[in-house]
Amino acid sequence: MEQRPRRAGAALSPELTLAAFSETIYSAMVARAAQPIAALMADPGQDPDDTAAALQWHFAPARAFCAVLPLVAALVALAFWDALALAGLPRSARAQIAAAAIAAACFAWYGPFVVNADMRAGASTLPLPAPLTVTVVEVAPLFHAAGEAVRTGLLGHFGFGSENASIRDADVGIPSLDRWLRPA
Amino acid sequence: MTEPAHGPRDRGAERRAGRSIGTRAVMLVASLAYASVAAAYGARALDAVVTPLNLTGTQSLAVYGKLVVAAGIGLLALRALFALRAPARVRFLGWLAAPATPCFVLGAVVLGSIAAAQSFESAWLANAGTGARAQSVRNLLLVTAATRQPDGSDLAARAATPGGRALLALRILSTGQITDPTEDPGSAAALAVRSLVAQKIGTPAQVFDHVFVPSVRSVRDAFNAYAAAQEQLAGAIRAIPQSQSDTWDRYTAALAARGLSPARLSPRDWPAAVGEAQLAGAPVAADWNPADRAQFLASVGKRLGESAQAEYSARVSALLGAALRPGLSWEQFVSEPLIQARWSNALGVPARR
Repeated sequence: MEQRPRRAGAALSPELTLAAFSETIYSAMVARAAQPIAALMADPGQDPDDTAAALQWHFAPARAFCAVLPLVAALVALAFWDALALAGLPRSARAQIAAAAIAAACFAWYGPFVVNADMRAGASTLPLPAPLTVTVVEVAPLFHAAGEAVRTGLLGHFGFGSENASIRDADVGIPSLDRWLRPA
Repeated sequence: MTEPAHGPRDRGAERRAGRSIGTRAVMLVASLAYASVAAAYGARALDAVVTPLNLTGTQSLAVYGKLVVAAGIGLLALRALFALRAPARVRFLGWLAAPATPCFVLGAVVLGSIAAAQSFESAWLANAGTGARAQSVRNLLLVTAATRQPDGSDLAARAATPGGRALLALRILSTGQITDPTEDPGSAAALAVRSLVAQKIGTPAQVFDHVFVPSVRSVRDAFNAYAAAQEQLAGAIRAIPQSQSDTWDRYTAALAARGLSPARLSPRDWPAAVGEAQLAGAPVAADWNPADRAQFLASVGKRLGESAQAEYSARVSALLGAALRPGLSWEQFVSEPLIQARWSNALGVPARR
C-alpha cells in the first residue's frame, strides 16, 4: 500500500476545537519550543561541556549521599561503642549490646517503620540487595531530619556551596537548557 | 602505717589506662562532631538529588562531598591506628605510638582519598558515553518538571520525601535512571517537556484562549480588509463603462472645439485627433482610426481595468505581504498557503506544506 507523505506542520482552521487544537497546533508549538533540548538529547556530543554539567549534577549528589551515609553509620556505631566503654561497661557486655544492635539493624528492614509500603516495594525492586536498599530508605528520613536540624540549628543554615534557597528556581547550568527553561 | 608503694610497672599501666580513656573520649567527641556535620551535608546532598542546581552549586556540593567523605575515612583510619597502637595487641607495631604518627596518617588518608575521588571523577566524566549524557539531560528535565509543577507522577511523589529521595539516589547509582525502570523514559521525558513548555507558553487551554482565538480574529480582520479591497476593485470595474463614455464625450467635445467631428475627418487631421484622444485619457495607438469608437473604448477600458487591478494588488500586498487572487470565500481564504504560512508564523508553529 502506498504510504502518503507526512505533511509538515498542522493545518490551521478557525473551526478548530480546543481538543483538536491541543492535539495538532499545541503539539507542534511544543515540538518547536523543545527543539534545542531535542537536539541536545539526540546528539549530546554537540555540547560536551553542557552534558558534562548535567552528568555531574546527576551523579554527584547521589554518590555523595551514598558515600556519607555508611561513614556516618560506622562512626556513630563506634562512638556508641566508645560511650559504653567510657561508661565503664566491660568488653563482654559491650560485645553483647553491639551484637544485639547489629541484629536489630540487619532485620529492621522486615518491618514497616518510617516509610510506607509503596516506598519499601520500590526500594526492593532496585538491582541491589533489598535489605540494603530498604534500610537506606528507612534510615533516610531520620538521617535527613537529624542533618537538617544540625544544619539549621548548629551550622547557621550552611548550604555546602548551594546556600541560596532560591537557587532551586535558578538556571541549571546548561546555557541552551537555561534559555529554554527560562519563563517567557 | 604506710601505704604500699606502687611499682614502676603499676604506674605505667595507670598512665596507659589514663591515655586510653582520654583517647577514647577524644575519638567519641570527634566521631559525634563528624557525624553531625556529615549528616548535615548528607541531608543537603539528598535534597540536591531532586534540585536542578546550577553548575556552580553542583561543583561546590561535590567539593564539600569529597572533603566530608575524606574526613570520614581519615577518622576511621585514626580509629584503626589507635586500635593498632595498643602495645599489648601488636607489639611489633610500636613505631605507631610516635606522637606525630596520627597527624601523618590523617593527612595521608585525607589527601589520598581526595586525590582518588578527583581522579575517579575525572576519568568517569571523560569516559561517559553519549547514552549516559543524554540520560542525564533527560533526568534533569524530568526533575525540573516534577519539582516545578508536581504532577502526581512517581518521580514527583518520590521527590517530595527524604525516603523517596534516597530511593532515587540509589536508583541513579544502580540503574543510571531517575525514573522507574519499568517506565518508558522517552515518553516520560516527552511529558516533562510538555509540562515545561506549558509553564513557559501556557497550557493548551490558555494558549487556545489567549493566542489562537485572537489570531482567528486577526485572520477574520484580514479577510474583511481583503473583501473591502475586492469591493473597491468591483466598484472600479463597474465604473469603467461610464468612464469610457465620459472619455469619448471629452474627446468629441475637444474635436468639436476645433470644428471637427470624428465622422468627418480628413487624413490630415488624424494626428491631431489621436492627440486629443490621448489627452482625453484614451491610450490609443498612433495609427488608430479617429472614428473607431470601439477601439477607443477598449483602450480606455483596458487602462482603467489595469489600474484598478494594480491598485487592488497593491492594497492586498500591503495587507498580506503578497498578492492574492480575488474572489475567495472565507474558507478558501484561510486555506490559502499564504494565509496558512502567515498564521503559522504568528503562532510559532511550522506551516503546513
